[in-house]
Amino acid sequence: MKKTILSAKEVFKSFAHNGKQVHILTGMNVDIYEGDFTVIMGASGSGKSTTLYVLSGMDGATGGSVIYNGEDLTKLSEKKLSVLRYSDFGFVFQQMHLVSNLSLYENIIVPGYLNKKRSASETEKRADELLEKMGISDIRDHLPSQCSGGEQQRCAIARAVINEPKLLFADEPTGALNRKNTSEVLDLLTELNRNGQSILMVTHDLKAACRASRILYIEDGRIIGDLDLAMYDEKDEKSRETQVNAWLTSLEW
Amino acid sequence: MKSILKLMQAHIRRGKDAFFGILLLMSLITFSFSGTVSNDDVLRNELEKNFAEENVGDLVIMMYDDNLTEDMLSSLDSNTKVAGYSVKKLMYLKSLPVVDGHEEEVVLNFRRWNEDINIFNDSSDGFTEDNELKQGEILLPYKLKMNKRMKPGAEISFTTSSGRIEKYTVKGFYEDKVFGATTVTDSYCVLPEEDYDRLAAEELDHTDSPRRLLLMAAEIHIYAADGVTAADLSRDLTDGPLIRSANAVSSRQHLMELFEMYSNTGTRGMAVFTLILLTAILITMHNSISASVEMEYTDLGILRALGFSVSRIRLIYVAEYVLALVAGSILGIVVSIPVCAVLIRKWMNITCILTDTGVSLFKCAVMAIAMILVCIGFIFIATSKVSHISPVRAISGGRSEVYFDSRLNSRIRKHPFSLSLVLRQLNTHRRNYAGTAFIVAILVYFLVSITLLTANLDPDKLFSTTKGEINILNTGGLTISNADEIEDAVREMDSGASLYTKSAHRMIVDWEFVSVDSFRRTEDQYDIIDGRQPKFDNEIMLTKNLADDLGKTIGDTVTVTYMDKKEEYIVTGYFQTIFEFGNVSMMTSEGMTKLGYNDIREAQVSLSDTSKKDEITDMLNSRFADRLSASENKESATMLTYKKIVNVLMNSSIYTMYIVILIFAAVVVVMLCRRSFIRERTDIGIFKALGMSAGSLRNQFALRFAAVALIGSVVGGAASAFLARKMIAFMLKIVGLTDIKAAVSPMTFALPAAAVCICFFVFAYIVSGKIKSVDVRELITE
Repeated sequence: MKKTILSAKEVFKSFAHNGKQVHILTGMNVDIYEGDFTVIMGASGSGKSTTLYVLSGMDGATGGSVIYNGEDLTKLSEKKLSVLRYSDFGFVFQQMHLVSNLSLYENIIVPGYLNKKRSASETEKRADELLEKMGISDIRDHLPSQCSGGEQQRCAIARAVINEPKLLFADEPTGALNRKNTSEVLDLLTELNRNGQSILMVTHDLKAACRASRILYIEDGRIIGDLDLAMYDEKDEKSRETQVNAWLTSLEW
Repeated sequence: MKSILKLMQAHIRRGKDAFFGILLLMSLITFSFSGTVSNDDVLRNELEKNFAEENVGDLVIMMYDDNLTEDMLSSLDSNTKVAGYSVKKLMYLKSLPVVDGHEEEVVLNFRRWNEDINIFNDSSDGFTEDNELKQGEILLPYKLKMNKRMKPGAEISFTTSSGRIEKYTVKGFYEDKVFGATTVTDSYCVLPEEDYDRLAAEELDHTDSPRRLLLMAAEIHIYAADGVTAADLSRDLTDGPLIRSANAVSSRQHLMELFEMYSNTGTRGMAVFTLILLTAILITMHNSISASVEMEYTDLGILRALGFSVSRIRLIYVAEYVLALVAGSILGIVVSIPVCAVLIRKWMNITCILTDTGVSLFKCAVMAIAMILVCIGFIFIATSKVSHISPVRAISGGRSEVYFDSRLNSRIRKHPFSLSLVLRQLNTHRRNYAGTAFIVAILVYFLVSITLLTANLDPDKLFSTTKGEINILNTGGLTISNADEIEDAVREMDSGASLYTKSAHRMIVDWEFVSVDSFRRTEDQYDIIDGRQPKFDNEIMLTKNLADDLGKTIGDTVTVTYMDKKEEYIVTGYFQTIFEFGNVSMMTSEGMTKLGYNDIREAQVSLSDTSKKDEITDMLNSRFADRLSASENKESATMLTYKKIVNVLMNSSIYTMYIVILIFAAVVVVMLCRRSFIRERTDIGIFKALGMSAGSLRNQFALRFAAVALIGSVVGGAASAFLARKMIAFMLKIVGLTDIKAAVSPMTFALPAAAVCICFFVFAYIVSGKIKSVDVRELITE
């Protein structure tokens, strides 16, 4: 029996535009399980990224609740949310969003220093390990502007996992990358998941979606499809793609 | 043109903070200088008009009428440098007047009534129609209005040598257009024709009378021929009997400067202040433009790709900032109009003449335009980066050449984590923050200078000359050779008592007609800058101002001429004083008697046993009644009120400057902080997404600006330690102070620095409030 790590109950998200209410999420109900590589897919404007931001506490919900560790994230104070962001959650953005005047090493280490449970030397040692793992230790002192998109995104992933978060959120992490870099980043995420990292990722890319162990399909602000898959194996890639494509087509993707 | 205007409008909408910030800063500058410029302007205009009406000569010689001979006047007729002359008569009262039963420490002179005299109305904002002076009435100069007893209806009386008590009722105050300023010691009152003529015929004394209580004086106005200056005229007449017999010689310019003395000091101060604020505004604009170019790099690249030339793009910035500067100038001048009116009216307490109260729009506008032109030049320099923008690179995001200007070299550490991030931010944008630090340095420098200026302009220290508990007035016949006798008489009753005397007369030192003072006891008389006080009868001490004018240094010899006597004296040292615009010299009593001058101008008795004060006063009045009048020594009510006014004017000017500077700092901080916040918006959002709390981010943001302010304060403090005294000496030289000696303590620097640092921290913290209220997602969404 899988353990629920994050649970959304009747979550609504709306905002006002030109005097009218625009509803993005309309009663979202979903449980995210520990150890899963969960992917959210949907058409453009269906509320994928909004779901990710609301579930991670980055954005507030208009209604409903998001339960993590027995607490409702929608009611937590800003201070408690900040603690959650560096201790329990990690976030990878589509545009990487590395701090421009910190080196790759420093970008990784800054959230590590926020973690009071680890000493500086332990953090630095972990950062070194992650740099090695991501294959960017030889450019550790480079600024983000001096690196390729793939290198930056690998740094962003390392930054997101420096504190060994319970759940890693990724918003279209390969959206800004070329094919080679996309493949490299997806391999990294897959390996992290194999090692026990829970991941919740948003993507519109079929190849990226095929790395998942669970795919959620969102339409009009609600989950309308839920597909469980086996752990990803490179050898089964083609059949996996066909299976996922068929499922998505049935949902009129 | 239309495209530039459209882009300018959009730019202003987008960068409202910069636009309104510059507008506000410019309005502060124009507001600051409008008052001073207008005050100087209206004062000078009024003085020119008044002096023309009064037909004041290029050179004005005051002397006792007894000393004026027909030969002296004839010599003027035959002098080719003299176009003509006129003589006015007045009377000197040598005793102290009694006002409503109280003796007043004030020197009164009397003029004869004429219909051109303007009498102030009750509110002193105009003149009364009732233009006559009846027998038994007296008009006082406006400066005596500060004396609480000397009000309309008060009775003023004095005793003549014949024993007659003259009584007059104060009718009101009149405008003394030539000698009315509070900086002139004597007060020229107006008597009705009948009373004046009667006194002149029946009660006058002469210079050789045993008692000299009422003396006739002549005011000779000499008009220079074309092409001849007052200085030429003065030098030409120096060796002649006219100047040698004079009590005082002043040029027309000097008489005008008596009115303008303090406003000129204020003008110099304001000039420095305006320059400082202008420098700060230029740096702020540079920062703002640089930040704008950085943040709008892509948009500017697009404009270039669309065909906009570099100069067109720069014109957008010029148009925007010129609009802000012009609007700010107009706002500052408009706001200053009511303030000017109040300031100029207050200033009337020192000048004592009625002037217009309007703002000198033309002069203020010219100054504002000059500053705007300087700013335009600066804007062109600041926008030079635009020429480095390659359209393709800009659009494709390659902006490293304009974004970072330094290598990263301050480590990020866990402890202290916040401080290490602060230092990194400072280091990354060093050039931008250097400009901010420079502004802080300027502000702190000016605040320290103001503090030093206040300490040096303490009216109690500047004007106080009286020593002792008993004041002695020379009623005629009190000479330096009497001093020992008087002191011995006092010591019979108080063995520890001392007599202090001062003699002073204007004499010719080399070729300058200046006051020569001598003292029976010389300790602490003047503020010695260099050398020592004269000890022997062939020694003299000069003010630095006078020494510079004469081209003399310590050890040189000067020639002092009084009447027909000439003697040489060795310069032993320099001192400074605010009296006589700092043109004063000092010698020993023996040195003075060598020139044939023996009179004591003022004397005081300092007691060791103050309980004997009344007894000794009575003794002096009875034993030496033929030559002196003794009374309790107290500062005249007029001098006290004058000091109070100077204090109030100085304090209000200084507090105004402090407030303007702090408002300036606040505006600069808000502008810079907002720009920094917008530039770092994404980074702030990222830090928030990584788990930094809003409070921690705000603290870092504010700490960064406090750190910049601290760096600037250190630089400003160091600069003021070296330069402030010189700057203040430049400002105060005009009133005779050349050496700034106010004690400096660490607080002199620490207080202004702390004020500016706290201001920066607080305003940066306030501006960063948006961090708290905005969702992370919004911050990192482009």
